Amino acid sequence: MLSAWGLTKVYEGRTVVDQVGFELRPGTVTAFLGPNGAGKSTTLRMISGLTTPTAGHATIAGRAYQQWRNPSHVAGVLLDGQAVHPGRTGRLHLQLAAKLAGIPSRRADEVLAMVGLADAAGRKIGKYSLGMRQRLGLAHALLTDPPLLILDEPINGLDPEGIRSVRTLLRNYATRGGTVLLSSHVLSEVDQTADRVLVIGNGRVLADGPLAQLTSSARSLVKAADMNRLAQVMTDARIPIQPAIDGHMAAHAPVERVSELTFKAGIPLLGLRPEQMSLEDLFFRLTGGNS
Amino acid sequence: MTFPQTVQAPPQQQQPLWHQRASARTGFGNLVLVEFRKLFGTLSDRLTLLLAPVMLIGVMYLFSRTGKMESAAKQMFPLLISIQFGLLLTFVAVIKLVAGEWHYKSAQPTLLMQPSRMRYLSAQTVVVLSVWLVSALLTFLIYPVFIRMQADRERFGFLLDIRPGWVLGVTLAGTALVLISALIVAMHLPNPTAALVVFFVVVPLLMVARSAAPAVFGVIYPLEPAYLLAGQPDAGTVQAIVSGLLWLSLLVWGAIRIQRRDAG
Repeated sequence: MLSAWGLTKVYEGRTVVDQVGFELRPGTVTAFLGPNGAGKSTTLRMISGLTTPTAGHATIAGRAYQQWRNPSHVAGVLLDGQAVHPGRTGRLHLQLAAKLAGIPSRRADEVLAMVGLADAAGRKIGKYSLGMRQRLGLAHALLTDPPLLILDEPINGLDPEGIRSVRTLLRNYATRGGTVLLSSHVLSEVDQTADRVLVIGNGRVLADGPLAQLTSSARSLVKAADMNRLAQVMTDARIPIQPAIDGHMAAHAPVERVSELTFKAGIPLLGLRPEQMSLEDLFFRLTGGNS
Repeated sequence: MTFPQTVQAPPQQQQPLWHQRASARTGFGNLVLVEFRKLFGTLSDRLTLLLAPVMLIGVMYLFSRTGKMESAAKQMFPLLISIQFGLLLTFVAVIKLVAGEWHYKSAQPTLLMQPSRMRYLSAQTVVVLSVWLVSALLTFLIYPVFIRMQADRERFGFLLDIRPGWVLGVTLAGTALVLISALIVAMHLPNPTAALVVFFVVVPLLMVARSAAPAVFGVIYPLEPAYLLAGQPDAGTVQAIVSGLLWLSLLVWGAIRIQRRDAG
């Protein structure tokens, strides 16, 4: 659905995006993860034709975004929820967009209801909260019901209820076959939404893969009734151990090896599972903790 | 050996609906309609545009009362001053339309829906052209009435009805030039407040400077060609040509800047 090859952007001699490439398949939610200034927004702006890449290119369904005659039907884009005229109402903002897209104006009210802004449709955008503006931006992206959504920090400024409804909306959208590319610097926000994570730091893609794969570690978390005996068995097997959360022990070995050793030693286990890295740990490991 | 009489073409794959819609460009008329709705988009916009003709008529009346009536050129002079002050609210509307879109970054969602900046700019130009035509028509219809009243009052003959084509030409040129100068300021300064301040400081200053030294400041005064066309004795052909070229260059440069401007 979306393909990017070697996207590079240099501003005044400084490379802010460096050879970013990826491909998105329909029916998936992909998170573009990285700290502020990592190059996420610039990459999304290059994909949506607002910024010209220094090198590389991106296509949506085979063509560059700006080469489509009516690109809003290919991709709904939310880059900046604040990029709205504060004197207009939410309804007028979307009606103007509907006119530009060549669809009936009544669609504006439909998408406003979808994002929970039906009651605020006639209110000036200047009186909207940050979260309401973000939802209006999402409504703008959903206006034409496109097969692809490109969303820059869509959860930014939303309250917990708003976050949950956006997550549900995006998951349902992907279930219907839609493709979602969303960026975030809030690591905990994407783990419940994304099938795949692209970690970006200093303008480069540092990691790309399913979330479970990226966050899997070589350690096992094990808990036994007799933790001293368990520690002795691990030490005898030359497996490094560390205390872990909830009374568990982190053993630097796969679960199969830990299971085999504890079974042979006759230690009854209360719990054994592979350790999953948090996204924070993953990010700091990939960036060397300096981003 | 037998050959089939017809060869069936492989069935064409039906493109999904979004593909068909994405391949069909939205008509230019829709873009123009959107820009018109933006012109009237807020309550302050509507009030500004509602009061604009009232102000124009009021200012024309005031300046026509102070004008000298000895010659056709003198009877035309108040028009040149009137359009600079009387169209003040119209300038506000135009500057807000063009500069406001960039200031509030609302150009971004527009360009995401309709990426061709030339089409976007052309649609805004059509709106400004419409504003110009309405302003010029109103000026052309009302101004001679006030001048006739003043000429009667001063016991001079009313001279503008001798050459209505000339009056129309000066009106069209004057209103066009002053609106273009507002448009140019809005194109170069993507902040409506800054653009309004610059416009309302620079244009009156140029008017004063031009009246003090027309040979010097006429070359940068946006209305110099209209002054020449209106037969003003201190207007020079060279100054009018240089001024016209200068403001045309600024207009083209403004369009190029918008083509390249970062959309937020």
